[in-house]
Amino acid sequence: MSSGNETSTEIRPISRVLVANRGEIAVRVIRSCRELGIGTVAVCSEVDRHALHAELADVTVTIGPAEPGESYLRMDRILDVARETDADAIHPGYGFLAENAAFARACAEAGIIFIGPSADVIEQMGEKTAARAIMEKAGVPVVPGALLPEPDADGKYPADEVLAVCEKVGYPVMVKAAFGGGGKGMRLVETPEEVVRACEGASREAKGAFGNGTVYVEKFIETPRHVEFQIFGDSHGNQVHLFERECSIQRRHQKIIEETPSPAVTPELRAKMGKAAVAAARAVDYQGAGTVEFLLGPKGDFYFLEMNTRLQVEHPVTELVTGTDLVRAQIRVAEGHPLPWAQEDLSTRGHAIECRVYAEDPANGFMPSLGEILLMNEPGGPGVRIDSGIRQGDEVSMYYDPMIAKLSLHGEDRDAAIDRAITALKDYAILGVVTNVEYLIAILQESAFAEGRLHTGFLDEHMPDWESGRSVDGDLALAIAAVAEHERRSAGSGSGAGAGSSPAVSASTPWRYLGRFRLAGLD
Amino acid sequence: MLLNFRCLDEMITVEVNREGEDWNLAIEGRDVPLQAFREQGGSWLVDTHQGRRRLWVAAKGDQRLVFCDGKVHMLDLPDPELVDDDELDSVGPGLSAAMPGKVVKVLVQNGDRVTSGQAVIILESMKMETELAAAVDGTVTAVHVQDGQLVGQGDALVDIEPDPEEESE
Repeated sequence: MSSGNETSTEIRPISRVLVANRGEIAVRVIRSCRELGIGTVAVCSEVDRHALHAELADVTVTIGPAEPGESYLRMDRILDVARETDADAIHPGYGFLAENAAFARACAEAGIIFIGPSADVIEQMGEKTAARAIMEKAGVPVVPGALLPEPDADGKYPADEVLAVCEKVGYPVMVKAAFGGGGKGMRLVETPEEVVRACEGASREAKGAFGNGTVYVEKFIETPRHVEFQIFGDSHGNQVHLFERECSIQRRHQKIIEETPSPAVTPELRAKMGKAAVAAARAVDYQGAGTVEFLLGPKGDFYFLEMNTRLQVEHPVTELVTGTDLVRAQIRVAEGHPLPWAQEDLSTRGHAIECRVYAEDPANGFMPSLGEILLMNEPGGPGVRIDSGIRQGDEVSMYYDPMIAKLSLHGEDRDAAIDRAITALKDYAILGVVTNVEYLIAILQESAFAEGRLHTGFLDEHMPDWESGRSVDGDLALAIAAVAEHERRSAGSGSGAGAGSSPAVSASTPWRYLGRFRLAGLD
Repeated sequence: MLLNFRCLDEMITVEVNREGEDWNLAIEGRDVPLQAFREQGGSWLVDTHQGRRRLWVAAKGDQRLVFCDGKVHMLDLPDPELVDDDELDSVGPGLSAAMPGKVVKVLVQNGDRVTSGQAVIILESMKMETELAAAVDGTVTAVHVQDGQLVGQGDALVDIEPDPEEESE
């Protein structure tokens, strides 16, 4: 298994998994291990000693300071810990070392099972142009594009050739600098009349900005959706897909709401895209869990974007509608077992939505909000799943991703799932840091969202000037703050502890719960 | 009990009287009767004439945070015994770090004139840069940090002495 892609029937039972991650995903992996009767080893940084993942594992080893580069990214330390604790497998989660080919290779060389695809596959798919070439060869559609012929010495392009290339790619086209980025040397071209001049302009701009004036054209996909397919493969040559997830709701190119099925994917399109996703998996003899990301155009045209060689953040929605446990399957496959499902065994039921709850301020450029979670009430009820690595009393620190939890809802249909999401979010009380809970509710309440009219620019189009209503002073909020304060002061003066009665005490106790509530850790 | 809340620069006086589960409140003299029960887990169940609602409350220094229906309301409840404290008075319209981070660049020097909205410091936190701007027109009287320095939450960064108020048309 660890040596690569050869088909093998050897079973290597895993007895102890080291989880090389933190937060909710580490907790998620530890839970599946426990269900399987597999031992767990957590690694943590110095500030994470009392984090949930560190407390849930059978064994926890502190591997370094808070900075990820000194702890969660230290391959050598993590491998040492695996050896010292007799872990025979490592689950990388997502992020950190999950798509690091060198780490996967180092695990294989140390005789430790890396729960994921082979180092070679991680490497191939990590190199975007190489991945595109492999997919094109396998018949997976990629965004049509072509390099343009060289301009002459005066920077003039051969018009006939340029027009022929663009005709083949199909309008509208985007002219892009081959060696640039950041919007420089880019031109959107709608019609053949503008194209030659646009190429010359883009080339000049690219030469000025990047020292190389080579440009290429790519088909411009208007208002695309981000639709990805969960794929899974084993070491016996089986590859399946577990349907799609639509992840078009993104801020700063990061997903915040994901759902399945996609409101834009018909059964015919699903069959077509699923086939392409499995072809992509087969092209590299994919083993383990992975995701094939596509851009989906308004007319049902779709294009390979990239392959993520890991478990995805948004995997819970797939689990909810398919009734699977993807981490359990990852472990089984890593042991050398065949996939637990054939393609025809897999089906979906109902609709699932995931909302990523972040400690960030959507009204202020999504700026992370750090500090202690003073109070947290997680919603519950049928069809409500929470993946969280943070508890009341924990700190959202500057060192790590400020995601507090993933709230995933399962409903009979899309409307039911949306209703369930809004209702659950309205009960998701988090105080102490600013969160995006109110913003998530506002997105779910947008009529365009309800109608399923999603695209990757959705938030820019529909919520550009969203403002929180939190500073609007509701009478009720004021009233209950007054009631709680009355309770707090009455309790304080009666207890003899002096809390709240002396200015010195109140000045030096900035974090305090009301009334009976006490700081976590003191109870 | 009389409580003086500050909300968006407005002072709101709330008078609180309790009779069992019944609370008689007067918000700026307006009577607001309600029934409130504290539940396990930090929430309050409130019966008003508009129906039953569940709210969560926490205190963070002088701030009172109230969560209701997906929204967080932030109220200030300045401690009357601390209001005249010298330390509080000395806090001028300078800039402090809202969260721990790293100073990427200090854009002003001691003695510089700044205008309201002018970027004064670039701070990086969680790999994101934020420009902190002066809140008033004035003069920089102290710069407490330098480029590359790590700062903690609440650390003073730059002091700004506001211009004396003038009648300017």
